[in-house]
Amino acid sequence: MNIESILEGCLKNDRKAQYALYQSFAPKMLGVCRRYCNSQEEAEDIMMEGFIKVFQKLDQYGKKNESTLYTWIKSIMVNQSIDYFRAHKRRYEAEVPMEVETISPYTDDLDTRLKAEHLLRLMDEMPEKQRIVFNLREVEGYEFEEIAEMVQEPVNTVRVHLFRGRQWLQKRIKEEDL
Amino acid sequence: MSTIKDILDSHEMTPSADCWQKLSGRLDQLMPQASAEGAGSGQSAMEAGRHASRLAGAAKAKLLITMAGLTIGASVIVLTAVALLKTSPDSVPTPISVPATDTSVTETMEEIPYDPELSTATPTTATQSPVEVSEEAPAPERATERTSEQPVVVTPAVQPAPLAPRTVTPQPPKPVTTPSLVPATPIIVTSAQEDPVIQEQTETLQVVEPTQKLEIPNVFTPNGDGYNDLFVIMGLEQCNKRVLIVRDRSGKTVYQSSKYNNNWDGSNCPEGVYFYQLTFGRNQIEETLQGSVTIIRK
Repeated sequence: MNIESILEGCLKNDRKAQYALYQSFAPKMLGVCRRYCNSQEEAEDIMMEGFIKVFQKLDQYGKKNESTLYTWIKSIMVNQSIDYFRAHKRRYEAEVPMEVETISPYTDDLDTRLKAEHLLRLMDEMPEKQRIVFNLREVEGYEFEEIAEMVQEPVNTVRVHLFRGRQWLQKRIKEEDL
Repeated sequence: MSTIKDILDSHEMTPSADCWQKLSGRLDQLMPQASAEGAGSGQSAMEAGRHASRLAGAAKAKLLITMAGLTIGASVIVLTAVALLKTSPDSVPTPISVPATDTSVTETMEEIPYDPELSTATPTTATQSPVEVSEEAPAPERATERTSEQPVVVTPAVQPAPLAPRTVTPQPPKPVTTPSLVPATPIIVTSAQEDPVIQEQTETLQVVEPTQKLEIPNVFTPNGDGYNDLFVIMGLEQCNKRVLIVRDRSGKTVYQSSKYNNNWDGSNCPEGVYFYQLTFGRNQIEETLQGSVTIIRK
């Protein structure tokens, strides 16, 4: 079953094709969602909502035709994660940006010992807002302006969040001696 | 060597087994699958639906233009509507005027609660004899008259309805004892009248000493120099209940003890402000104090 026939089936609301699409993308997308929340259960909830959006809006995919299917689905998952965060604001305190630092490109090379699970567990403790901005910028590679729009905050605040997030993570990685 | 981005970006997870089942359950609700024979024609049905919605959209747009263009027509419609409202007879209540009066009636009725208990339960005199209290209950009566021309705000006419008289024996108020400000010596309570059974009743009252004021520091320096290395609360040793919870600024609990022995050294806590919640007490009297404490390691 190639991707074209899967997509065609999904457009026809064919459950088997939807399952095929789910199967091929779920592990990656669960990894994406897990970055934004604190447990696999939460990540699965977010991913499920994301897939529902994917199936409902699949006819819109390819209209603008600027991205691959993978990045399209991923952006839906990321947006779903941000929505989820907004609905479940847990630890977020309105932080007033005190200083805007110049941010050098993130160059830390990490040993291969640094396992993703360990890193994720570390990031579970990261302040929510910093974590989201860090993910969006460092992993997803969005521009600051895009992130500012996504999280509805000024660009400078986003920069401060990113700076603090990096500081926080570097410190924790050092502490944990990863 | 790999970067955080590589690690996180390439990280895959296996969804739990029931994840798809849940998802397909949701899909069945939201986008029910077409029946078996209709599955093949799903695409064409979707196309048809889209076409129809486009048509509907066009029709709506057309209607809007017509409406905008024909302002005179619209005002005629409004006039007609007003005329219809004015001429509508009482037997045919229009849905605009009648609910307005209805709500006003119900709202005014709710404002007059009637509670017979309330008016008889509080005796005004301290007499021990039975008091006869008769009450008249205000029974709000629904206004039935309604004019046909316009909605009228109806205030319910209050008609007194007789109520059977009630006999109420007022209870003497129960004495209230407060544990505070009791002298530390036992009190002998002697009755003024002689009781045939008990000549004299001695009761020992439990005396509650006010707990000595605690001294809680607002800073300590766990750097191992022997000075202020622990979070020591002066005066806590005299309490038999001492529960301490310390949270960081994000609300995460960093230290917890159900019987705190002045031994928290702030390990694993970076410098900064922490918030404590201390519940202390003795002899069932408890008090909770909250505040902040700063850790400095210089």
